[in-house]
Amino acid sequence: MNRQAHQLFNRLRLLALLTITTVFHFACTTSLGQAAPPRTTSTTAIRVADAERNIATAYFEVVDGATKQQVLKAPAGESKQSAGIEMQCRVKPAATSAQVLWSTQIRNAGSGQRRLTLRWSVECRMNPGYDYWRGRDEPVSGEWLAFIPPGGANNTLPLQTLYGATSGYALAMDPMEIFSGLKQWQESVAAASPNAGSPNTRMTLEIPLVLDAGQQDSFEFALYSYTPRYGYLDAVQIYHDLYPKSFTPRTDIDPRSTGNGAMYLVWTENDFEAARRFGGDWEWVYAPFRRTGDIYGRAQFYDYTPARPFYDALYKLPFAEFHKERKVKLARGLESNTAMMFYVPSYIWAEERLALEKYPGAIVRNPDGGFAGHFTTPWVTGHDNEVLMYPWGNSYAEQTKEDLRQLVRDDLNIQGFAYDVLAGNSRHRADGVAQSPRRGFDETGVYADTAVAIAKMMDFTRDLERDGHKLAIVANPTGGTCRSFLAARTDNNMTEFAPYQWQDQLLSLRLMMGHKPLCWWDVWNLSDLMQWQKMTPAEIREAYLGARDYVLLASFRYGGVPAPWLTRGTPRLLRWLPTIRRVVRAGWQAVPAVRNLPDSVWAGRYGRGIGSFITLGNAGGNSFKGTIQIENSYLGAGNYIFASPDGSKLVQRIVGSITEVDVEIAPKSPLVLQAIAESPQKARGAATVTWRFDGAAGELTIDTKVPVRNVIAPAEECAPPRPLRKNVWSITSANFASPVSAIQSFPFFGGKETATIVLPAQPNADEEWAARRLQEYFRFWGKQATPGAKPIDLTVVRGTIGGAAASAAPRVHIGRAAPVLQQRERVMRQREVYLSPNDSRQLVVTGQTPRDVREAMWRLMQQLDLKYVYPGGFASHGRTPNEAAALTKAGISGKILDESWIPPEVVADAKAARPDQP
Amino acid sequence: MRQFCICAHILVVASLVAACGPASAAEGPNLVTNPGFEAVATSGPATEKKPAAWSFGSANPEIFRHEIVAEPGHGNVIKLTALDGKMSGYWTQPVQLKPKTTYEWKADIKLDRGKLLIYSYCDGKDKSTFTWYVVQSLARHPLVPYFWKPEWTTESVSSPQLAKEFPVVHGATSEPGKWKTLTCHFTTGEATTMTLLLGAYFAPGTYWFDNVAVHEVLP
Repeated sequence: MNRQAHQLFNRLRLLALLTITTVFHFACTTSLGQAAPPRTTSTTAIRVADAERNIATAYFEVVDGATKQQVLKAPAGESKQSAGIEMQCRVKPAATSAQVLWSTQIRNAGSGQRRLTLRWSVECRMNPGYDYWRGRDEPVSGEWLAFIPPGGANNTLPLQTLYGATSGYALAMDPMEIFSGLKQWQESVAAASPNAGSPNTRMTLEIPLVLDAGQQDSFEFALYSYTPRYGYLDAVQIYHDLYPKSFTPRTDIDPRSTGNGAMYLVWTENDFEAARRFGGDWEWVYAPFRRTGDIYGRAQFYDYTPARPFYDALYKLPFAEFHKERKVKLARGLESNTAMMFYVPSYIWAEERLALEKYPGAIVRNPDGGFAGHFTTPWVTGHDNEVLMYPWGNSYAEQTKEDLRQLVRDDLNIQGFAYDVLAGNSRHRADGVAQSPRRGFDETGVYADTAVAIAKMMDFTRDLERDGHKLAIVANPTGGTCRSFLAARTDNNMTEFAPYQWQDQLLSLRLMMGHKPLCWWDVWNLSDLMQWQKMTPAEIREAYLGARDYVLLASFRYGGVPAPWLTRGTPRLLRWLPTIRRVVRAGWQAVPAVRNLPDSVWAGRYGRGIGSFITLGNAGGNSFKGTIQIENSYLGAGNYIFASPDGSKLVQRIVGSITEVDVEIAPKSPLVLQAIAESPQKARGAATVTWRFDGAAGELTIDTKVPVRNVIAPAEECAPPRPLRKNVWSITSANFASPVSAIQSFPFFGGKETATIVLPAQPNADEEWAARRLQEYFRFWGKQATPGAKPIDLTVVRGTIGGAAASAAPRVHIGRAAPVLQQRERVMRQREVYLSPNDSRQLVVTGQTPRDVREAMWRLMQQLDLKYVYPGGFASHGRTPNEAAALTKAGISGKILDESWIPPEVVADAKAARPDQP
Repeated sequence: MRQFCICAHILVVASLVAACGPASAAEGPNLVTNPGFEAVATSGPATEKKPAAWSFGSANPEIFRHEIVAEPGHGNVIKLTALDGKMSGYWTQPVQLKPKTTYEWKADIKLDRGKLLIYSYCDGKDKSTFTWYVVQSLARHPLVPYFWKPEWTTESVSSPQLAKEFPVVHGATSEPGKWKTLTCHFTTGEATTMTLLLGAYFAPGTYWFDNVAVHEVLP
């Protein structure tokens, strides 16, 4: 066949494929919609074509687990019945012709239980030198392919891909699909014909499944082709976008749940202002029960003799006092504005005596009858001995579910649950297995993995509601042991390591979480990575500074937010923290979509379309100056124009579907660009973007001849920009009506009198809260920010101030104390924080609703943080004693690591504010 | 556990002074045969060229590839590729030593990624010739080279038990693609036959070795 004939043949083949796939879609849907009895049906295959019009075909195979004989094998799109097993397929609508989404339904039509091995495979033709990526780690090719372990896919994404230079195929299972075991592999297959398009490679996904007589199950799959411009990451990007329920933060949970962890600053240390400054959006409430396995704290289980004495004051309390005190401690979240995540050890651990006496069948045991997990040393509570449990389909699970319901029903301040040890990987064979989905089997018999039970409990938890929100799940899945379907059910990843540790797990974990946030929840722990004993104190300090810079750039690269123990004492990280949080919230994307970068510049991308962020981190020791190329097709449907983070001039050109941007990035520094305007796909031309903003108002200039639409403000929380003149838009804050610098200059203290906080005569709880927090703000800063300083006390009054005091003291009017001012200053009414235009000694913090008042005060304090800097003290300990020794040797234990990052004017202001201090 | 599979035949009897560090001023003749891999055993296909006087051993030899390649400034070197990390594999050579004598071994090594091990042992009941020098590649070190100097890094020896029981257990890191010379001192007990092993330690990667030497340290 000559070249032209071959091309024609391929075109016809593609046309035929698209036609029969469409016909088949109706056939399958109709069949299942009528609930017709399955029978062998001749239908078509699940197929996709790649850019070179090669075809990849999906198959489904069932092997009998007892006999190891094949029960059936057919193109994945067929309905078929064989040896008592029925298979059906339902094709679902897909976004493009390069994707096929389908569900495989399998039913045991026989009279006895069946142990089955299910295999989905894709056969395609790959040219020599292709790469294979098996859901984690690095892709492999060539002779290395022979050495990929055939199993061991439990802790990978259920996604695998074969790809060459210009095209690739991916076989993916819905990330929410639960399994007791998973294998993925690729292999060569004998070509069915010498035709150039004949398959020569196969990738397979395998799951064990036990079905009782009459039982059926179904699995959701996707097969797609793609162009691997960024290698396997293109397959991952499509996967993340195909399954938003798994990979995008839920919008019906408390939004703080996807922010930064408080690292016990609220639950244990009761330090609300430190939590606010270092990032206390949510708290890991560890461990709010006395007896492991009794998370509610039932009267009938409460009094017992622990293996070791109760050490915590909470645990020592009698029953009624325990509940009272726990409620009080949880209510700390109300004061600190922190979402409280009630800790559970994924329900897989229970106190030994409780488990043996009440739930013996739920204990996970080895085939020899021994405990599969048994701690006789301090673990969950510290005072209990604990055994491994299976929390689904048994009395233990029912009690735990009732505990969860009651915790949410009770008047406890809980916004979600903190799932610890989120992994599974233990096989349970007793109570609850028969009631569990996705049972597996091995030489010992039928089992269900503990991950199955955890997933079901997570589903139960995710459906609970309180205060108009679903309960959130913050969890600590790792990249090494976690099942991907557990990460898919996690709203925020409490990542128990700094991003320079466990590198082999970091990217795997990142990909499992999709667009959802990570939180670097650990101390520095550098001493085991360096020869600190041989290093000079200056070198050790330099090493911590280097790690700090890495954490900064890695946060933008991998979409993680550093928790308080990494930001304390590091003004540079603290300064970047708001930007990191804002960017990470937009949603990490697998494909960075930026080209023309040296290895030393790391790219990241967040969000989609207008508002997307492109992050660049220059790890090198010299400034990077160059032109980067942003591939707009990954961002959205148009071409995009970008703004710099500080308003400085950003020169760019739209060329084809690419925006070329001239950038300069300082060494060891990030640069965050935001897509602030869109232009049509066919638009071409240059654009120069500048903007200025004083916190209340400003201007955005897009100097270009390119048609521009959908313009947004480059600053956070602004109203939609309004056109002022050609290429110029006005920017207006949604919250502040006075410039931030003016608000920061408000004389809270330092004059003849400290400011008075004015509340309405009968303030509501939110107004009271706002007043207390502002008081606490200055007490804290006054006491903490400068050694030896004293608290600054602002007075709170209710109602109006009469007499001479009415005009003498600066005043902060909160909530409904403001309307009198608002009547006169109508221009301010729509915004929440402003200085009176007639009297800059009158500051208003208000809102349309009580909740708005709280949020207005929160925003005010965040702006004040830029002036009233409090970096806190650097780490003084680590996981080993070596860390403390290294920190001490370097002279940085509890000190400020990088004082030079505190702006000089802030230092000067702080000294001027308290001239009596040294 | 894996490292103990390898050294299970090494019996614990006594301890003695030994150390890894810079070479001494005076040294005896090199006791290693074909130390630079210049002599090649030519039997078999050209693709299976082996260095004379050296032999390769592994429980899973199929995961290893061997080449003798020329490197600038080195002449021939042995290149070992581990395609998988499920097993270790080593080029070995026995070396005759004098009892109660201080020696030094040296070797030039290079690796792209993974973990390299040079170790020595004797077959007798004397653990004195046991040295264990593991080198971790800095190829994927998150902090090197941009944020840390390579010399700050450490490779903690994977088994504290090993470090506890044997006199010369040392860890190091190495920049990928750069030659590095390892040096190790030890003092023999009663044993006189030591086996020196150079290889890949349960990690996929490519490893190069050259200029292997065992010298007596002269007073």
